[in-house]
Amino acid sequence: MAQVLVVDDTDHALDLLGYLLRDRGHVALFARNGEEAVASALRLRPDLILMDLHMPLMDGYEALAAIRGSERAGACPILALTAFGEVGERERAHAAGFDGFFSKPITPETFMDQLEGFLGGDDRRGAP
Amino acid sequence: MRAVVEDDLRTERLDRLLAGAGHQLRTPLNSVLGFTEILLMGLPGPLNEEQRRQLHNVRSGARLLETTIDNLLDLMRIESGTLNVRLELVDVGSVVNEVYSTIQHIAKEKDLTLDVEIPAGMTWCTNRRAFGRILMNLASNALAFTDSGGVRILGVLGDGVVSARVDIVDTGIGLREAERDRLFEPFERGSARGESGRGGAGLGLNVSRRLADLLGADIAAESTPGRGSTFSLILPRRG
Repeated sequence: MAQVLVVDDTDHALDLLGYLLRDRGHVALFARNGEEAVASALRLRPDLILMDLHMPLMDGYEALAAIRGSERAGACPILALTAFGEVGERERAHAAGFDGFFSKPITPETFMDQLEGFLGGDDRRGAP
Repeated sequence: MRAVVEDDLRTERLDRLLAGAGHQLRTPLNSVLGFTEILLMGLPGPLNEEQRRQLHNVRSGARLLETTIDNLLDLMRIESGTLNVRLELVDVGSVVNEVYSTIQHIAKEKDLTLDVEIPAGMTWCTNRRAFGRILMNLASNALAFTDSGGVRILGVLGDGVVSARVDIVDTGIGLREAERDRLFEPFERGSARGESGRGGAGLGLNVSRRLADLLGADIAAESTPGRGSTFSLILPRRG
């Protein structure tokens, strides 16, 4: 069982990912923008963060930098999940330091299998 | 000079517009596909046969929409010259594996085999994303037009005489000669294919051919009606 922080500004996405995480026996924590994400990451120290890239107040890239720069949560695997598609965004996310990149729409079962690959041990499989 | 700057600005604006449009289309689609899949997995509770059949229809419609959105956006990027095809050394096997993991569930649902045979160390200097999109389009088409048997993705190494290529071989309904000529036209489908009610092609082959052009590659189709088709992505020889 892992604690996963889901960061997204759309209710449906939080609902969907929360449902899938709970189904696999994990605990889902939610944040609706980058600022909330940074605060939750430092306070709750989740095992993994699933981060939307484009959000109000603070976007996923800024939140990533803030979390990575912290001592409390700097080592947490952070995966990008975006509806912006692959063009240019995958390279940008990878260069910024995300551990993995996923594009919406997701295929739930495949997505959850891949997500769980980032949990536990030091098996950090960075998607290219 | 001013015209060049204005061109650049227009290109940048168009690029942002297309990215934004893609985002606005994929966000609701993520809900449709995600929750449909959850229902089909039976997570909230068991389904009866009719509910399952109808949800399958929702899912295949939504997937078709997803493919159309991706291809339409690619086509607009190609038309407007905003598609960036920076070349890099790409491991063919890793791209094919990504395609495999994205579409294997479709093969599973249709009870088809999906096999990959790429020689170890096969590389190509290309644009990774465009290369992946072409293979994805060809392989999804192969699955869409196959009802029994399956699809194989084969890497063939080149030598001094033949170019390296990736073959997508299916045991599907195949193509007649006349259909083959029109195959790469946008929204064109082989008549047998059109009657089959599979949705399918539409923009995929047209976009694939144009992406292949940008990469200096070629796409060839061979087919025996009723027996299956082979689509080959032929990689250019590079010095």
